[in-house]
Amino acid sequence: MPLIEIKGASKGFGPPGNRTEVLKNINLSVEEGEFVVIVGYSGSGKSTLINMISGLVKPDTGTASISGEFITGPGPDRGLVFQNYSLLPWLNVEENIALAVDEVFKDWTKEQRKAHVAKYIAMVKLTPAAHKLPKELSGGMRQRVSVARTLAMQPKVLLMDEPLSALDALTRAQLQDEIAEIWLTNKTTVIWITNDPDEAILVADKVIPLLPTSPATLGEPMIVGMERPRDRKAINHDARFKKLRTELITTLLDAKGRTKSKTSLKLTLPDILPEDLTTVNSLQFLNRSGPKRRTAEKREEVEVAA
Amino acid sequence: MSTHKLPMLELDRLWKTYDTPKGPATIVKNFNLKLKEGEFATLIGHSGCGKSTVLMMVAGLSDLSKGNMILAGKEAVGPGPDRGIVFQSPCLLPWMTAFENVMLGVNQVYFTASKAERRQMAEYYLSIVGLGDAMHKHPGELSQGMRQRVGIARAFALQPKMLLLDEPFGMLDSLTRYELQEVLLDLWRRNRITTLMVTHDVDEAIFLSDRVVMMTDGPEAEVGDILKIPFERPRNRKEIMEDPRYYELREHLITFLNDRSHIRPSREPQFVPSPDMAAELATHGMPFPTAAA
Repeated sequence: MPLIEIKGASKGFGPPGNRTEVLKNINLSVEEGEFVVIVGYSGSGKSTLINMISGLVKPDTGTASISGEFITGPGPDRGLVFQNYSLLPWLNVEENIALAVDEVFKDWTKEQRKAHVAKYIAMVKLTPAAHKLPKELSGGMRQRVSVARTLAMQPKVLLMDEPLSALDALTRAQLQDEIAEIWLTNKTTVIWITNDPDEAILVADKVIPLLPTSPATLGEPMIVGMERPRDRKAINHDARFKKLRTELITTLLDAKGRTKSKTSLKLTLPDILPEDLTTVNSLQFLNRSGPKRRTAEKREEVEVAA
Repeated sequence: MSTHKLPMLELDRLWKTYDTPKGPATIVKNFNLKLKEGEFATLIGHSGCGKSTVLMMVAGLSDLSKGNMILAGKEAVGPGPDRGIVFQSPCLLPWMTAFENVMLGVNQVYFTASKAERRQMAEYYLSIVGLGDAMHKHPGELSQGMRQRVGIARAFALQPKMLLLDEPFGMLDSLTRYELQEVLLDLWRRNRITTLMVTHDVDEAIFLSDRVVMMTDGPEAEVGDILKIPFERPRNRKEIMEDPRYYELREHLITFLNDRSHIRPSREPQFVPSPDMAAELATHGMPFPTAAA
């Protein structure tokens, strides 16, 4: 039995008459221990999809279930990592993580919980910064705290909603490697959402494109068969990587292209040429009236995406 | 006039040095490049290697410490509307609509044209970049990608002699970046302005340009290698990505950035320039020392 299963789910927002359908006929099944990445454009409904699994959003039709039970609301069996870290600013790293641990493992002793927190701080390599406040940490470090907090709850599935989008390219690469490494030792089920095709192929077992049709649907899953740990430099020379990358990018771009309605409109490009502003006082402006022109006015019909 | 035989831009032994308490620091060293009219060239290199410094010198926003720069047969001093710039952030005036932002420059360089013609100019370019319906919105109401479209339209509307792009898509997510690359190429297909673009995205460089100029790591950055991109225009991303040459070019660039960007041709006696780089050096009348020896 798959751990997470979504069957025929759809979701829209707004009152009848002014309704926007966001997702349609979503079918997704994620096995235990699998690393699934969903790639899609900004605003195409990726977050709505992950919120369906986290229980923050209920599907209009269809069902979402975890271990065979319908998802009715959020719970500690599904850990969520947000793009904006969502740390409590007045608590330090240790306290932020302890907050989740104390809530989930109420029957443990104080020492057990403390050791548990320390273990996850060490896992994300933040032991030296354990007593710092979020504002004293860089963006990458804050996201590591957020990952540690979520993992410390030992959820059945880790849901990551564009976890690295707010970080610069170098930090992003470093955290991709780190999270992939942590996954290798933990084997927690991961559902990761991103808009970066390269990131998707680098970390995932299975990549699923979210096609920006309106409403959006999931495309065919692509299996990434490359061995782990993956070396981001070596992978560039890997034929399987190249093939997957081409396939994924063209699938997404083609789907986007199909959604654009072509409207034809008449535009006029006036035949005027820029004046040389360094010689504004020269006599040439006295000797001619009107602008420099290339030829007579030309009209052209262009196709513009609306 | 046979100006088309002359290069549109000629950078001859460009140096950039800053004075520091510890003596002068050389950022860019002996940078040579010639761009033909209608050529699209990309400068690629690691962050901080001096790519943007070169671009800002061409833009006239940064002085040359040594060397010459000739634009369309004339020595260029200081910035001007003959060089259109698109920055990484769109740099729009927030209290003006997209249309008014474009009109700002248009009113300057077409001051002899009628008001109707100037309006048409701005409307034409804003429509081509896909903002036909949104041109009277303020930047605050536009997404990051749409703002950058305004920036591109603004640069093209002035019909500059040269277009300078400083990582124009660096702040966008990858899928939006692909879209805007198409928008840029579509405009460029209509008006082939000589373009120099700075990027660190290998795929972007291959898809857009005719030649990729690779810069060594800074300081004292110089041209490390040059690669011609042989794909026909107009280009189709899917066809290019399926072309076996695409991944050869990509590997060449990635290998340079990963493994060879620290090698400085001027200091490396064993350095053998690639055919594309040797051809460029020859046009400067400076065959590479080791190649001659």
